[in-house]
Amino acid sequence: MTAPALAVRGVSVRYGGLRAVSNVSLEVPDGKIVGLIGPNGAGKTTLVDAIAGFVACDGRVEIAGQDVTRLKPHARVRRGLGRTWQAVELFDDLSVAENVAVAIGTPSPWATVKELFIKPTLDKARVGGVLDSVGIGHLFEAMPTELSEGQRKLVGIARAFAGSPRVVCLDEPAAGLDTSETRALGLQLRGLTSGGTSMLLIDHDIGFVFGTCDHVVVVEFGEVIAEGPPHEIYANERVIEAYLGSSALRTNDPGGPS
Amino acid sequence: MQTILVFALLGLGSGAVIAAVAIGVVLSWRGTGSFNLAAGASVMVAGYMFWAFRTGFFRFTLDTWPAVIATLAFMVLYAVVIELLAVRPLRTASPLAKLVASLGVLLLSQALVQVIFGTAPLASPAVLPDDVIVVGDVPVPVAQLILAAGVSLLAAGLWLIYRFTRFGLATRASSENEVAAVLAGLEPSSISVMNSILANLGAGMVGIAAAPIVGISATTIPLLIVPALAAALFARFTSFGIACAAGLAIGVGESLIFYASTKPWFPNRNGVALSGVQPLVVFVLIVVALWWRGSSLPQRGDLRERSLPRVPKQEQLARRMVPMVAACAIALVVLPSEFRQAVVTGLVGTVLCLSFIVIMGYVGQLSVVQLALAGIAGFGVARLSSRYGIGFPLGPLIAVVMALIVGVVVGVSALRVRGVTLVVVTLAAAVAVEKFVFANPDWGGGQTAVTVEQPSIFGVSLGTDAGFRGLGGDLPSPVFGLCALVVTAALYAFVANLRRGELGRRMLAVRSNERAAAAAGVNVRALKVAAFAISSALAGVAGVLFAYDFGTVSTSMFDVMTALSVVASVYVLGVTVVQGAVLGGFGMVGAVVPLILQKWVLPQNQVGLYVQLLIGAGLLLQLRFYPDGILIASATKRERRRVERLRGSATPPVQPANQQGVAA
Ligand SMILES: Nc1ncnc2c1ncn2[C@@H]1O[C@H](COP(=O)(O)OP(=O)(O)OP(=O)(O)O)[C@@H](O)[C@H]1O
Ligand SMILES: [Mg+2]
Repeated sequence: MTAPALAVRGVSVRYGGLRAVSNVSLEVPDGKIVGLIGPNGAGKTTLVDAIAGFVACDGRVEIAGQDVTRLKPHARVRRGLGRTWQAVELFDDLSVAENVAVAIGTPSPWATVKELFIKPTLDKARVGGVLDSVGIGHLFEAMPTELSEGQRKLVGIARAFAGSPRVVCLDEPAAGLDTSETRALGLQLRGLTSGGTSMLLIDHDIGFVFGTCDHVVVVEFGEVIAEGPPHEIYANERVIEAYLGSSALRTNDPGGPS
Repeated sequence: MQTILVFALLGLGSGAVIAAVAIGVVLSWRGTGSFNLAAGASVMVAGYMFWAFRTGFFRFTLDTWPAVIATLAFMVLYAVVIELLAVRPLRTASPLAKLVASLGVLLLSQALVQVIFGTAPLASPAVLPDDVIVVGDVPVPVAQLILAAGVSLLAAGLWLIYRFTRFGLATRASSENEVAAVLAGLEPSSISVMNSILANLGAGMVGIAAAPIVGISATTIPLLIVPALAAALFARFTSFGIACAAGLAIGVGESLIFYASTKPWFPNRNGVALSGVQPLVVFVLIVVALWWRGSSLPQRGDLRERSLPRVPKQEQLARRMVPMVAACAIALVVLPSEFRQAVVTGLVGTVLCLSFIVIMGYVGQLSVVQLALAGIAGFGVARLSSRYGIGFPLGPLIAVVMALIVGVVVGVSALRVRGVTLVVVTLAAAVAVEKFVFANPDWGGGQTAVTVEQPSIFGVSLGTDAGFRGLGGDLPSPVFGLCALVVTAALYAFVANLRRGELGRRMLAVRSNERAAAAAGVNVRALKVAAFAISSALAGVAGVLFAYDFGTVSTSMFDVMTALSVVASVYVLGVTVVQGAVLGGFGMVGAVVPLILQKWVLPQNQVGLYVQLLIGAGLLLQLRFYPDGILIASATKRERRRVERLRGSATPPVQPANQQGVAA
């Protein structure tokens, strides 16, 4: 059996006296999408920060079987990790295409030096391909400040996928998108897994998560309270009580999973 | 032991001034969230005004007390004018813009004072008694004690005001959350002006009382801002008590270092003690304070660190450059000699300004150490040939590498800080380099200028003394100018090209958002170090060219105030575009624009001061009307027009296109 694309083993994060994440373990197998849901303040974003190296944590984080717990964020990216931010953080001084180009990969030092003396070119085909994969190819030349919130989200997602990562953590990618955009995003994400990319998908839109994911993990107060395939989670008493009961109303995909 | 005590007490005098400036810095930060580089200038203004009232400079002479009152009244006026000119228009601007505005105030105040009162230091009439009382067997100077007690009282008073009055409460509330303070019916602009008046009154009182002790000089007092910033950092820009204590302690420490330098064990050369140890210690203190007290300033609730001016794309580089280069080449041959000299100086200044474009414009790190790095390379090239016989081309190469190394060391010591805090580190570094390296007669120039051997290769001179003399037939030879032109054009293209490539993209990504850049795989630290290296090397090249251009190097060419006015002028013109570097370079003292002003517009002998005046005033006007810099304002307008044209004709508007895309 090959190592999962992402493995989180017994990770805990403390903010002062608060245990934002306590002893969470989960795995994202190759080519699969794992959902992570839970009420506000459950610790989902904090877990992603720990995975990506933006907060110190106890426990282990592995990417494709390699321990990355001690690595800095950019080094984890080079091992195959991508992430998006809940509040989109684009490079506002760069065009959409350049935003994606930054994340495409680290050129060799030699290539970097060479570029300083000849006229550099942007890999238009590759950047365009990345933008097309989330349906925003027409925004190539735009500046982030000219975009709607939904479009900014999509640029952030495109940037996370630009470096052909093994696994991407998506923090509420559908927030700010309307119903049809959300449905399209779900299809696009499923399409991206065919290239072998795995995902950890966080969202409050339960219909979106259950319709897109292969497996769902539920957290509350920083702890995993349930996990399993979407239909099992959907029927899980404890989950309904903790979370679904209140936020199922917020689902904007009335069809949902059956 | 007893002598040590005396020196410690003597240090209380300048310590009190440093403490007062530090308190002013804290007040500005708490009152308006601005990082006030001009806090030291207030002390200077008060000192000069008091001197003028007492000595009949304005054709009337006042007694001590009326003069004190008149000076303090003037300080209130000064505070209000600055508030209206430089603070209120920028209330919602970025911390960087506020900082640059205070730089404008500093340049303007310093230049005005020197234009009005002259450049020579003055002796102010004493206010405090110059008695010495003997306690035990230690003679204690009374004036210093009174001064120290005075600032301590000031700090205590401010603490009480902040703690227990409605005004203090309002300031604290508005510094935590300006929006909430407005909602609660507090008026941020009057809070801000009150804080500014308090700061200037404090600085005024200390300035009057300390003037006879520290001397009135427009060149030294404003720079007390550097040790004051160190003190303010220890106080995390909030505690008056710590700012005051740290300021006094720095003054005492400097005095003790002075005492130590009279001892035989102090590092010395031929019995002359090493100079400039104090600023070096202040620099180290600042680095320590940053590591110890946290990497950045406490956040103010209303601050969104808005990004720097936009970075327009560099299109059609070759087409833009060819006419400029051709014009310079022709000018270098046909113009009369002084204009040729000015063109060369402009070209060299351009290279210097390019280094700001990289570090400030592209990476968003406001560094003011560049001119000092140029100085290191300039003195380096002079000393390498005079002492070790290493001439062109190896000498300049080594000199540039020296500048690069020092620049990277400064950059690394400031790696954890970003934005405006970096200014503190680089400013302290610049002062330390000036006083410790340049003023050293062995490494730098000491009090005199050092001659530079002109470059030549295979017996062919490339210097200002080469055989070919242009149309006029007099010195300097255009040969060096043409060499400088080639170098400048190449570096200009290099920096413009940087914006278009992978490395430039990463720099801008870091400038926009360090966290997101790391998440996109950018090694932020390595990138900053690379940027420091590139920009330091550019500064080093500029330094070498300056040395050849003028034929001599001296400390005054690379002093901190010159550095600050260059930073300011680049910022006025456009710090994110290479064209800004050209304008900044040709506007430097000695270059074309000041030469024209000097010949036909301004009084001959003080052109440097007037240029500084213009830059300071220009900075304030620009921040008000074109907050992004003049070139960038126009580039942005052009780009917007282009986008609108595109939208209007070829492509459908963005919004519908997106919906189609998703529906498909
Ligand atoms: N930087 C921080 N410092 C201190 N506490 C924090 C910090 N960031 C988050 N927290 C706390 O940690 C807990 C988990 O927050 P987190 O943002 O991870 O939740 P979340 O599941 O992502 O919530 P949401 O659905 O609202 O995004 C919350 O109680 C939050 O207040
Ligand atoms: Mg979250």
